[in-house]
Amino acid sequence: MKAVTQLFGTLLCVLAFASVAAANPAPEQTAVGDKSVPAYWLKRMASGFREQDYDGILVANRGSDMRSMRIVHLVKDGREHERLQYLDGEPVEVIRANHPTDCVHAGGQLIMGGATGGLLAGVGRGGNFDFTGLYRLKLGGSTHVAMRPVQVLSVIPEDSYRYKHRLYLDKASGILLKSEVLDSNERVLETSQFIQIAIGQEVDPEAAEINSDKALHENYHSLPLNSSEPGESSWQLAWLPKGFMQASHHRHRMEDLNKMVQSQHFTDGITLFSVFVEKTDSAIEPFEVRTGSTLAYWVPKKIGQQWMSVTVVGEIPIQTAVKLTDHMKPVSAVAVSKK
Amino acid sequence: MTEQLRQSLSALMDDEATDFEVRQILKQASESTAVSEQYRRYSTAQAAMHDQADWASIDISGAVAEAIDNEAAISRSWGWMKPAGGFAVAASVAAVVVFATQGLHGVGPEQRPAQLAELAPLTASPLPALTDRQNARTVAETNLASNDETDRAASQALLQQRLSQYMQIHAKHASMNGSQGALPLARVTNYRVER
Repeated sequence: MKAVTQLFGTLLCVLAFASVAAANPAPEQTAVGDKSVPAYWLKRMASGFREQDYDGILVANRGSDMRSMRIVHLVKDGREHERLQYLDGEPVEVIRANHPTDCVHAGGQLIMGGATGGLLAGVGRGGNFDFTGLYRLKLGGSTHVAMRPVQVLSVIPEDSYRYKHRLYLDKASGILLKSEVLDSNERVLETSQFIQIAIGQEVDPEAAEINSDKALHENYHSLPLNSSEPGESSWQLAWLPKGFMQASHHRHRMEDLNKMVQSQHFTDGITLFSVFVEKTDSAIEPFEVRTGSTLAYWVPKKIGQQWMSVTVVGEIPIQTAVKLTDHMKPVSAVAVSKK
Repeated sequence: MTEQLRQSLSALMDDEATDFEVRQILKQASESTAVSEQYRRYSTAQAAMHDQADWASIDISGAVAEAIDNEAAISRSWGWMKPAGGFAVAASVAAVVVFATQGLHGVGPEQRPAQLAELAPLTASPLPALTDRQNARTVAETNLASNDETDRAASQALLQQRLSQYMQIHAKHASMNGSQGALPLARVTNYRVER
């Protein structure tokens, strides 16, 4: 069974990689090794989480809500093993194992610059970073997080469809130790921060072992709900903010009503959002709720002849979600415009 | 109208208004039509700059009232997903204003009729971009009129559960397709793995 799971995971990796590669052919390799270059730190962040061992306590502060979790990440024989322990409320422990480190998903692919038009597409061209109107990177100063020296990096959006990120990256490993999401008024919507962390040789190699009989086991690639499976969508977005690409699409069977929900997931490497669509017989008045930087915007739409409930969830401003739902169309050959 | 209020309106047009500025606009809009008129002038000017039409027909007072109504409704309905205070008002107003205009942004006049036809409004609407929202209210009112409070509470509970599921799916997507490792999973409450 374990072998089957590993094979399944590897197959999904291949498919995911192929999907990204197909959307972004002919990668242009860029050499980013200069610590004075902001993109160097972005790239190290993306690879650091995947390639290194770490064991830390993370605290997430979202408005009045504060939560903590322990994250253990180990790499053995080219495969990632991860153990997540939610430390507040009902104790939950999740094991995710056997994910090949060379399996690069959409966001990583964009960040690592392996995709033409990706975030790092312009890196190395005379030091001029051409993020094609997506973000401007700005190196800040140095400080400490969890008693470790960090480099501050600001990722500043070039349009109003995404938020600003202030990243505090471990100087030794590149691992993101603290993250702040800010709106256009520089208000911090959400902070995630390791308050204690061991990296590399400091990590107990047994730390990722199962600690409880109640631990939940999950494949890296499995989306959470029953009968989650790739499927064709009956709708599409005729507009995406510049630089976003579809990372995956799925169908989920929701247990409560035994209904199928279609989802599509998008990323520009930094910002992510998901769109969920299900049939409905009665339209509920549109509304939006927000926790921290995560928005859920719910609106009824008539797609073709069917009323659908459409929900956009993501770390995006409301105007992005509204514009996305404004541009939902039935699948009928609508070319996606990016502006 | 004070210069400060004009600047606040201008900031709202640029989606840069603070909570305080939005609240000031809300207050002034409820007391005087001058704010609405000024907003229309700004809108018309912006529309002209962007070669868009119909801005002048948007009624900010209706948008404001709707935002306030929505905030009150959401505040009553939600537990852990309560909107964050004044931000909800700002977001709501922005949503209404943006919603009322986004149908015009990026969609040329020649495309608008097709979009309208596709939306197939249930009721006649003078504002194309408000079609869905207005239809939603029409349908919702019809349904709510025939439901009792128990049904409504059950619907809201179901909605909250569904949103929780969506947010969990999204967090997992973010941990897989983002660049910040498992950090997005810290946003998940009541983590579930379906077997």
